[in-house]
Amino acid sequence: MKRLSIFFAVILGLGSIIFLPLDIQRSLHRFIIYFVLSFSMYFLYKTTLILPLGQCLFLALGSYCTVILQTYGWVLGIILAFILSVFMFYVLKNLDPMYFSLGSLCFMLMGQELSRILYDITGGADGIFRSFENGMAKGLLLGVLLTLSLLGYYTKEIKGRLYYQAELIKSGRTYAEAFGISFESVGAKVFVAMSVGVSILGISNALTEGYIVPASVFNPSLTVIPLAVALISHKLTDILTYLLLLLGIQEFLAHMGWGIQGMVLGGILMFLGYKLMSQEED
Amino acid sequence: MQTELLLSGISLGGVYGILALGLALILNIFGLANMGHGAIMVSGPLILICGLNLKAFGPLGYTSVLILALLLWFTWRFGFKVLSVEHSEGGSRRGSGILVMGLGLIKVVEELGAKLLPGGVIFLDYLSPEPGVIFNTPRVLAIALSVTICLLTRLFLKHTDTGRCILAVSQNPMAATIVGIKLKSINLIVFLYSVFLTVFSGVILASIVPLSPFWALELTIKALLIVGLARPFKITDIVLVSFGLGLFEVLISYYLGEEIRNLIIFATFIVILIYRSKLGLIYEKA
Repeated sequence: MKRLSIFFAVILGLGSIIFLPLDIQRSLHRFIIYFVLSFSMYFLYKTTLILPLGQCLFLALGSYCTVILQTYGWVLGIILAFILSVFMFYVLKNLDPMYFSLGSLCFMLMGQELSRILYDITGGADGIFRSFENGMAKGLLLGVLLTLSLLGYYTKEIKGRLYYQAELIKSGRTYAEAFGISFESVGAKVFVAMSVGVSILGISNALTEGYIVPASVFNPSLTVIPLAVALISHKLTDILTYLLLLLGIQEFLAHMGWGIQGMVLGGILMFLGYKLMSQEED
Repeated sequence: MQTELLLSGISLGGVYGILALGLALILNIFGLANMGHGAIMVSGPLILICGLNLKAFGPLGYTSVLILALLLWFTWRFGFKVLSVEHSEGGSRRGSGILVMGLGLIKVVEELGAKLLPGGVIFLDYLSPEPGVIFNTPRVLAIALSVTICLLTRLFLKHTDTGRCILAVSQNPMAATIVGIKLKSINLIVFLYSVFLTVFSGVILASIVPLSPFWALELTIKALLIVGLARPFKITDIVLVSFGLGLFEVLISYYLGEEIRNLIIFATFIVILIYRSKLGLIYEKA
């Protein structure tokens, strides 16, 4: 029964994402964005128990740098993402996971406010536009390559030393330190890697869209949906299934034109939250 | 001008005080931060607007009130009741579950608010301020109501049996159960009282400033900031910190500009989170 429902969820999601939208490439790219964000949160939560609610900040950083600066904007985006993620981690590292999440959320909200205040550079609430030659194809290719690299990194790391380090950290930071595992080094490594990954996703987003506005890169859905998916997923295939289901339903409702996608999504999230509470602790 | 700023700051702080009081009750009894707290606050004026103008909104108004009522029931029945009674173990899953539920609640309220109010803001301007009059009635009423509610809550917690039971449960739920306190009833009372306070704070806020349904998350963060700075169940702390935050916000908006107000508030929140222990702001339970 479970397999049957997963099968139907995947069929519904794939159908809604591939056949309903007018622009399939854009729809696929949207799916990649959600997948990478969900994956980064899932990976961080599984290995360090950290739930970063501010990952969109890195998406915005990559996107804005690529659009604002002409040639080497993407390089600056990655460098800035690296520096900012290191700074954020070392500022918030001693906090409980809940407060770490809130702190990273505040960093993201500050970024959002800054993107509106610095209107001479970012275009403020109206956004900024730059067209790229073959932007869609380049962006999609970069997105696919990034996804494959992240999956490769995950497969390599999770089967190796990181798996044992993560298990020890889950038992408690002090306990892990007794075995010579430092939360700081593991957390910093994964957090910075995921943040830089998301900034590359931002570059891919800028190439695909060309037009960057705070409402799109700091869209609350980009935090809420990946977070919920990361929390309820037990394995990588779960991320795919839940994302296909959620985005498929959204796409279907948007296609019908009822304008209730957000409400339905909110209802589903509330139900998923309840399911999560009912699950037994790992 | 200074009197006007002071009045604006204190009235805004008073609203934050009631909001934070609702969150503090939940945080101390259930041990979890309700991320949907701001959404519950925004739903207050939404319900009031629909209730007062059911004919104007037509079927959309009835449906919205029904949806909001169902959401609150769902939050209790499958959220707080489940985590407080049936699943007393498994902290991280409980916390994550409530987090996801809260974010879902925010999503629904945002879209419902945007649908109901094409202008995008809720403003219960029942008494327009007269030109030249500094003490406009909604602001003075907001301050009076905030102070009264905080005082009544303090009296309720300190001088009634139910209030003492709430304090006992917040200190040690297991010991409270052993001495015969019905945990389920106390949890329900706290949840309902917190919802009442939060919804009420939303109504007062919408009467003094135009309230956007998209402020839900921001309001939750501000409430968390106040609760984080105050000692558990010390209502005087909550009131003082809230008034301080209200004044701080108004002064920043006036002297530095509206745009950077939130930027400074969020930066302050991060600084307080980091230096909480050094500032002596981590407390034992009440």
